[in-house]
Amino acid sequence: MTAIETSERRTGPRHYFGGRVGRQRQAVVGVYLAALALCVVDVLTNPSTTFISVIWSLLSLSVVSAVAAYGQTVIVLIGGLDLSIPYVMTVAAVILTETSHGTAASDVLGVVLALGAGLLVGILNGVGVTLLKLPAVVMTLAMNVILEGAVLVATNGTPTGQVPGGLVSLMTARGIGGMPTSVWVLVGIAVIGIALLRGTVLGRRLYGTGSNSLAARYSGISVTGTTIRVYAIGGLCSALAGILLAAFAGQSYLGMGDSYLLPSIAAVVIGGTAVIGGRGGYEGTLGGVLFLTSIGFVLSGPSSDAIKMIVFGGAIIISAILFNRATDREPS
Amino acid sequence: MNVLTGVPRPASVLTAVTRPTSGSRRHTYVGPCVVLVILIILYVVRTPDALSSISILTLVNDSAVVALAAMGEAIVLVVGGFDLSVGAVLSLINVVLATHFAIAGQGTVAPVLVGLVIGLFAGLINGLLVSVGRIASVVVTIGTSFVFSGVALLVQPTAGGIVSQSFINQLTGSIGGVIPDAAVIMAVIAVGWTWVRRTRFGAVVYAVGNDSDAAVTAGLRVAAVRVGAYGLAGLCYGAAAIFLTAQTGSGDPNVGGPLTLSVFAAAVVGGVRLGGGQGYVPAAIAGAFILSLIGDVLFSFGVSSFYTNVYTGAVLIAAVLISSTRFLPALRAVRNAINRWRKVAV
Repeated sequence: MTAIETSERRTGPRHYFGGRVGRQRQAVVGVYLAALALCVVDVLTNPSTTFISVIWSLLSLSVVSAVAAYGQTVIVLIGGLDLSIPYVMTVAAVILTETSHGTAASDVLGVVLALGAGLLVGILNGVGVTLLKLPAVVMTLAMNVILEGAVLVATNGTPTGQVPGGLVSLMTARGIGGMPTSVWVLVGIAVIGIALLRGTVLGRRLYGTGSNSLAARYSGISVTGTTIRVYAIGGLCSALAGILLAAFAGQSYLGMGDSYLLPSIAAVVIGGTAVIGGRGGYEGTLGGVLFLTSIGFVLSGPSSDAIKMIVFGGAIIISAILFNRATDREPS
Repeated sequence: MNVLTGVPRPASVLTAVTRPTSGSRRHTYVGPCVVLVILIILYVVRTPDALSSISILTLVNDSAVVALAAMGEAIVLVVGGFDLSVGAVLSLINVVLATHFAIAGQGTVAPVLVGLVIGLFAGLINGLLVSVGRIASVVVTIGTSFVFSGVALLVQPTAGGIVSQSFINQLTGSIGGVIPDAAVIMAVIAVGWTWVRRTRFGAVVYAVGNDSDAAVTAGLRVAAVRVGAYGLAGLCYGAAAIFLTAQTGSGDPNVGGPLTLSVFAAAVVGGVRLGGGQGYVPAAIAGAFILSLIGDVLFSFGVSSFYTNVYTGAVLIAAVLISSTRFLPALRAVRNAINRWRKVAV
């Protein structure tokens, strides 16, 4: 590996946003195909299930991860990393259940307060990263720990209250043709999320800042403003994921978001978004989420958790090599 | 480019070849040591029997796992990486020792060797994927942490197992009832690193951490040095896991998970800079003791242990702010603002 070789390999046909587009798209399609293949394997090994029911359960089980992973995607795209997802989710869920008392007004208030808390934490993360110039890892890790302590002190360890009935039925009910209503949430986040990244000024600024913040600044983009907005979106997504998870579980409890952090980063990586920022998008991340969820379908037996984790890890490393071999070098 | 900050660094051969030991010149360990001394004084004043040999042994043993692992994390940070797999490596070694090697009739040498070898092996895998596989270290270590945790779950699905008493006694005791064994292990690694840093290899580790492009241009063997650094880090994790096994006396496939944060925090509080090239690795020991002493000191002032996490987070942010080069200008700006305000007020 010499410097000259490196620079040659890094100049290929580039998309406007960077990345070598053909191979990138192929790999993203490959992630979706892998998820689909795992579903087919599941149908073939379990004769009692039908293909469509497997697809519906795959989609509905992916909703919470997909929302959390959107926040992670935008923050990784701008060159950061969000380690505060677990406790932003928990805080939002706790606020929701503590506020909601079964009346429509308190339900709405609970959702608004929970989302507001997520937004606030996101803005604080963004301010820490931009104005205090803290590394994103430190800022969000510390934020996660502080929130963990805060929610422990505020609830004495056992949150109380209930989840609004409307949210519970949104996450658990089934509509026409056995389609879970929660799939609409997934469709919504995918459409709005991809539109935000690909079709808005903020999306353009995000990619610009993520690929080269200095160039972005010279082009007149407010890097600080963009970064804070992106972290705010990340906080909002984590809070929404927490609300949806509370609706899914029917309650809130400490540590409920813990198992969503590493898979969110894994989904981003498997979906082909470069951890140095600027390359990739939510199309890939969503495929990564579906892939990670579908792995659980084909594994059963006493050691399935262990094998699932090994496959997760292998998938992360292999896809990182496939996607990023030439571009996503070890940072210096 | 730096994955943690997104800040591109100027590539210059000069940086690599003229500042290979900037870590030792910047004296990043002074701040943490001062904080540690203040905390020790507060702790001794507020806690009765603080200086009895049994309280010292307890304090050292409670901090030793994090301190040993944090030195490994510090080596990875210095070479410009970031290791999220610490907890998983600790869990893996812990269950392997508790189920196969640290049991009655196996002695102490075998489990120690096996623990170090697994740690070294895990570190080398991380290092090879980072340098030869050319994947960012965050991604590599998240991936391998899944794999190591999965293997740990395969080895021992649930917590349990009994570690032999002689193994526990030999590691958690103290020499002559005065010097804790853990302190000796930490001192050995600290002295070892101080020697390694003076070698050619050590200088290149700092050069790679400072600016790997420049190090490549200067003809240094960046890939090999990076693998070596991750391997050394793995040895530290091995030592930490051996001690962890003796300390807990059993195996638990999930024991390491919560430790990743403390290990990382200890390295950063010890003044090791994120992004590489700066920091004195043994200062991570000071970082680990700061984190555990702050809890004890605040508790002695009547602060509920419920707040442990809140101040751990606050200390982490404060440590990075203070160690970053932007802190002094920021402080100066605040002082100027206060002076202006005073003039107006007067």
